[in-house]
Amino acid sequence: MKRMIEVRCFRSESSGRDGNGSRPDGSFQAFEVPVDGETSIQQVLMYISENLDPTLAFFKHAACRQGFCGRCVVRMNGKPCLACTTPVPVGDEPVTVEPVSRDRAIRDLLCQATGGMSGLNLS
Amino acid sequence: MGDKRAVDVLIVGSGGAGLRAAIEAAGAGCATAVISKGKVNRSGASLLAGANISADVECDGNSLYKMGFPGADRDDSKDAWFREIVDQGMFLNDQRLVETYVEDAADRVRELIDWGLRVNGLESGRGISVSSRRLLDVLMRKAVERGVECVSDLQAVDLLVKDGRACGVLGVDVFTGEYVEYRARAIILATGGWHSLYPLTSGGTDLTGDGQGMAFRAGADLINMEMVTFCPNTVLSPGIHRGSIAPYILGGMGYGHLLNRKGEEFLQRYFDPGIADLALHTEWNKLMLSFAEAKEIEKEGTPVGGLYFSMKHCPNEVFEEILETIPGLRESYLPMIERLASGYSIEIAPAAEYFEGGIRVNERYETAVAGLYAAGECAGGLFGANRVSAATTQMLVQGCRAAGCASEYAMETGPEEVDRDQVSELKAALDLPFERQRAVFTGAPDPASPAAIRKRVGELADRYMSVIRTGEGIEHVESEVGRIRNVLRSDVALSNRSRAYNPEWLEYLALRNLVDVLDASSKSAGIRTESRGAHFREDHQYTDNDEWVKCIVTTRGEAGSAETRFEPVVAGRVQPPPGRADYWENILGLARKYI
Repeated sequence: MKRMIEVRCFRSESSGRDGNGSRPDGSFQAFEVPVDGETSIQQVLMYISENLDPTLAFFKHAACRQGFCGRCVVRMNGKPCLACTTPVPVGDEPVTVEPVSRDRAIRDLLCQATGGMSGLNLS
Repeated sequence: MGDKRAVDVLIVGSGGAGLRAAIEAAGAGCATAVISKGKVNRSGASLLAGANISADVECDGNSLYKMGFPGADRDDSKDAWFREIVDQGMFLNDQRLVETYVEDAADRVRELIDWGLRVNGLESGRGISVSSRRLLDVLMRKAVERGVECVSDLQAVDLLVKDGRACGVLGVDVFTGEYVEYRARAIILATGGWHSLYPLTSGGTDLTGDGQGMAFRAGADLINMEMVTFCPNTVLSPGIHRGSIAPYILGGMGYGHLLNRKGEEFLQRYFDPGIADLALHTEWNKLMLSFAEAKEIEKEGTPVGGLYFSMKHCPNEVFEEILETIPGLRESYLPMIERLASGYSIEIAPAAEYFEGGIRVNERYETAVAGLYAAGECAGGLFGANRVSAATTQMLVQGCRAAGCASEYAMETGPEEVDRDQVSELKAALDLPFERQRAVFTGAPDPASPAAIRKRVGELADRYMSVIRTGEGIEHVESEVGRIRNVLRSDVALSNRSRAYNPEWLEYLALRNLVDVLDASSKSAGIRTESRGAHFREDHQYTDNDEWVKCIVTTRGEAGSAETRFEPVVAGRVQPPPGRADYWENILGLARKYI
């Protein structure tokens, strides 16, 4: 019951694989990811990281995966959410994933806001 | 150059053990810092205790009764509790550690209540039920009150040791990738277990055996590393709930049916009906259910390699009632309950949950390295071969004790300058993967990539170091670990040179620890040719008290790999009965005794 969807991830400068060369900085990169109705955004990102591009930066090294640490915040289709408890939307439309604030972005999908959860109360 | 800081007592890890240690060290007048690779008080093993539905904190029932809990077991005593812990730990417990655990537990519970922790009720005659997040918040507030410096997002990488004495920690700021050097008179490791080695675990992604790995590389001993407890009924699928032990908690309350891929009940194939019932509804269920589930998954597992946890037989009123009566369920698990109520199941399997083994400490929580202490799950020996009592109490008791002793040591010890040569050599070695940058990505899997190595060690742990073990499988792990260690040392390469949150480099830093713990754990499991507690050997299905009431200690050998030796158990007032018994007869006998 898996289906393939297109996931467009924001990539910041100095990101990606050196020498790949095909992707301009500060833009979206598309990945094809298998999902079902109960795949979380975090699992989508893990899939990309493990199978398609290990350089994609998102908060993954100290994540509880269950909605309690509050650190995996991203913006999915424009809305801030916890990546671990948010399922991919129903349907075949492409999904966009961005840092919750591009101004405070450290790299790719990771930003200082996810570092401190300052001003965000999502957990 | 770089970022250099100094404190009296440095604590690595910010779960319950780390925060309780910090409160004590700061209270003793030491300049104290807690560093965490994640967010202080929102990372580590404690955060997920009891799935945030109900974490139990235990002390002897009589003390609990005197604290004003009329439902507590007033006939209980510290001595009775002590004897149960050692009996159920199958006599591998360090009885000095058990002594501090039962002695201090009531003081630790009482102070939590004094500090404002809300108690939901009693979990048992010995345990109060609390929310793990609230527990961490209470500790955090106290630590901040006492002036503890809390540093989030700082990954400890290695201990700095000069003339045999721990004098600091080299860390990495995960967001910038820059090195941070912390000098300290005493260091307490409180980093939890190595859950993340296993593909299915109830722990967070940060639990990568960092304390065990760092201590091992600094020359400390590890103990009982073969002992790993698996939690049955942990979510495998749907993916969004993966790793949650909520079905285990529901099962423990008597809810749910376990079914194989054909929809058949299977527990009675492994245990007779009375025992199967016991397996479902008592604390002993972890060993027994995990075994039955691991066996059934081999035979009739679901396509994703699990079993079904179903509540399809329940009328809607049941769901309404559990949402009403179980705090935390509605808040955190409503989608899971709705799924179960709709007639669909949750696919479950046993998951790595608790590590009885770890850094070897004495009753002052000192390791073999001067100035280095360990507390909480990363310290081994308390629960022997099988934990049945609360790990939350372990973290509180040991954090407090370790910090008391570390503070005394810090007060009477002068500041030590770090060994500059060690720092330079370490940084040079850690930077090597950046220099071995990979060529243009071709799409082919690169065996020297951190992702590929991580996948490989996970497969080895899952297949051979899980609930059911064999000598042949463990030998395979041992030989593979040697190969992986070489790749990690000489070949591992990154795709990107950026230091700012480089996920591959962070993976590499975690792998240094994961490979050390897998090495120590597999060698210990290989050498223990019997079954005891959490360690079940299919090729040696007996528990042999004549030959095997002894501990396996691991240290770092010449080439960096683990070397094992036997050491006598630190015994005390409880003695094992002599003889050799069938593993399951022994387990079932204990289970019946402690219903």
